[in-house]
Amino acid sequence: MKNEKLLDIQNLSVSFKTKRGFLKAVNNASLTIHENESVALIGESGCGKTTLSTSIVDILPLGAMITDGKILYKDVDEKVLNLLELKKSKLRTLLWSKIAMMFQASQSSFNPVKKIRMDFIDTVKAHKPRMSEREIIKRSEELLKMVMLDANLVLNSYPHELSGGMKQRALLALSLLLEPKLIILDEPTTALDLLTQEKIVVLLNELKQQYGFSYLFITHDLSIVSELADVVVTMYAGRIIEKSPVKEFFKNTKHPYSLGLIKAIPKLSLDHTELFSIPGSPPDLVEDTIGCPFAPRCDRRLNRCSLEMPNMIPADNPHHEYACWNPNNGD
Amino acid sequence: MKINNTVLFIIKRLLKMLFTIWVVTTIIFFLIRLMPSNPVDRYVEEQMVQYGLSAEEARAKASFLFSMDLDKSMLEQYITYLGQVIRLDFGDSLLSPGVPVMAIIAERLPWTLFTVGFGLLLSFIIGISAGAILAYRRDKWYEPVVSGIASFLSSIPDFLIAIFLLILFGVVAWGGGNPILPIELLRGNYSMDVTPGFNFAFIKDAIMHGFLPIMTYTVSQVGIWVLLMKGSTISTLSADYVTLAKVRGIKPRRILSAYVGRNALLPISTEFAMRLGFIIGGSLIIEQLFVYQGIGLELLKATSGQDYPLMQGIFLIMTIAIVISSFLAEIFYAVLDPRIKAKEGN
Ligand SMILES: Nc1ncnc2c1ncn2[C@@H]1O[C@H](COP(=O)(O)OP(=O)(O)OP(=O)(O)O)[C@@H](O)[C@H]1O
Ligand SMILES: [Mg+2]
Repeated sequence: MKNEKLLDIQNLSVSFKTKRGFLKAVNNASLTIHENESVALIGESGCGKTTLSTSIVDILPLGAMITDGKILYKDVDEKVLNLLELKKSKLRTLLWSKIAMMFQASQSSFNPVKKIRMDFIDTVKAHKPRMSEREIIKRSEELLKMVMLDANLVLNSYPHELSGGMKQRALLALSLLLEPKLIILDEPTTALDLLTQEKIVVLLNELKQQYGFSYLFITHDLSIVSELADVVVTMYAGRIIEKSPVKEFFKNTKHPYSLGLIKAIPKLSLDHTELFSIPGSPPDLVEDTIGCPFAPRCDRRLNRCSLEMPNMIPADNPHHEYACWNPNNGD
Repeated sequence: MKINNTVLFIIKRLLKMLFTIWVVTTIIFFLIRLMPSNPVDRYVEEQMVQYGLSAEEARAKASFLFSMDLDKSMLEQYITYLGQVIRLDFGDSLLSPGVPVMAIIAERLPWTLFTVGFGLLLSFIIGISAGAILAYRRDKWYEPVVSGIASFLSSIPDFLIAIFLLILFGVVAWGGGNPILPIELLRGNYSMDVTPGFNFAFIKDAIMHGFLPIMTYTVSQVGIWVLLMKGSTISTLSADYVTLAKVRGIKPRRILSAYVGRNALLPISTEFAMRLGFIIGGSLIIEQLFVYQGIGLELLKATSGQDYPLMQGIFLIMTIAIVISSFLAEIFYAVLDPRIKAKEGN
């Protein structure tokens, strides 16, 4: 019943070279995205979500190094490719046609000196040089309408003439242009008002049904997670500490940190809107930690926690994994 | 809507340009006419003291020389003067009586524009390419070396470069033979035995004669372009739209031309006009060093010979040349960057 693996990240570690030493932004992270599956990546600011997702499309900033791991992608002909070892020219043919990405706070993703139409045309031309401009524009218009934009207006505008939310939706349309298998969305709804946000989430769900896309999306909004995700992945201090099907995640949260994130959602229904927040702050990623990086902030801490890093172990539901010595069991 | 914006922008710039020219024109008038010990008064005095002319006669002579009617009110003089400027009529040169100032300028200015323009363009093309390459190759060993050379070149005065080139090409006899260039034969703008016009012999000769000034302008400007372009390209390379272009699988060459190049050039293109003005001013020394018959050398001659009408004409023409080029640069900038017009539009 389970769909096939599309992207398989194995033991990925990424470090930034900084003045103070190596900053381990991603630490031994493993993550699988299946076909037609939507994976939500959650965690506090600075825990390595963007670093993890940008390493898939080979755009890590200068000073970042992948120190370990593999990123396996299953191509159409069942061939499994390690994206980290692929030739640049081969990788380029996969990018956008198979894996597209929308940046976090994507306000300057369009070329400021060209009209938006050029970004659409350029993109198709890079992969299908024979497609005519008429066809490209026609397809672009359809997609722009799908994201509720005035297609003609947007295509003939310069980026600075569009609002932040319009740009974000135009970018979404651009990412659908070549019907990729996987779309990486780094906080896709942050620049949008609640109503548009809701519409985009509904649209993303529809597109997934219709085209069979897979998503890897990063968000701080757990209500979007519950609407859009099939699988939830929690990151903390560069490590993946919990992976679970979405229902199971909310019903049977294992890791105290994941639980903290859920508890931190403002509950407007309650009389006194008491906002829970996890005490303390994430550790410095330059320093080596021996035990569980969350231990200093954890209310379920055992002696063992500060001494030994727990491995990922399966819960009762075998698709649910977590890394904790003293998981929450509903007690 | 779009057209209107563009037209409006051009008109605004045009007015600004005319205004600048008018201000400079006026300043020059006041310098000549109103400053204490201004040239006109000095001339009159001189004539009276040295040649014993009466005040009347001296003033009449001055009026003729400066083509100003000193008996009229200052305002009338000013208006007449403006009229003359509009007609580009600056009267006759004092040193070569009977020769209109404009004729001298018309003969000299093209040579300066030729050498300065050629040098600036060459330095721009070389500097921009090198700067962009360095930005891409930041991790290579030669990057700090080339950048170091560029910042060294941009910091030494151009006349030192001129002297260095003069020695290198015209004085040192490499390997015991003759110097590379026969500089005594290269005085002036072109040789006697070629006919000016659009023929190969003349063009080649003109380039040979202009070679050292052109090289000087190129070498003295190239460093700054390298540094500016490197900085600008590096910041463009880290822009989201360049990163996203990579993720979109666009070919590196297309990214360089349509995404990086054009955006990186934007902040630099205005600098171009400023530099042009700057080195037209600098041509004074360079043309003297190479005995190149351009406007700079002419200005020097006019100054030492106290040829006021000529000085005035050259100042004005230089100003106009600089203002026009900065006008063109701004238009060019606006064509490159759609955001400029939008900002000014309303
Ligand atoms: N270019 C860089 N140089 C050095 N360190 C960096 C760089 N980019 C990110 N980092 C560090 O890497 C860690 C992970 O950053 P990342 O951007 O992946 O976080 P994130 O989870 O996406 O956060 P957010 O939710 O705020 O977007 C952070 O500690 C950050 O300080
Ligand atoms: Mg991020």
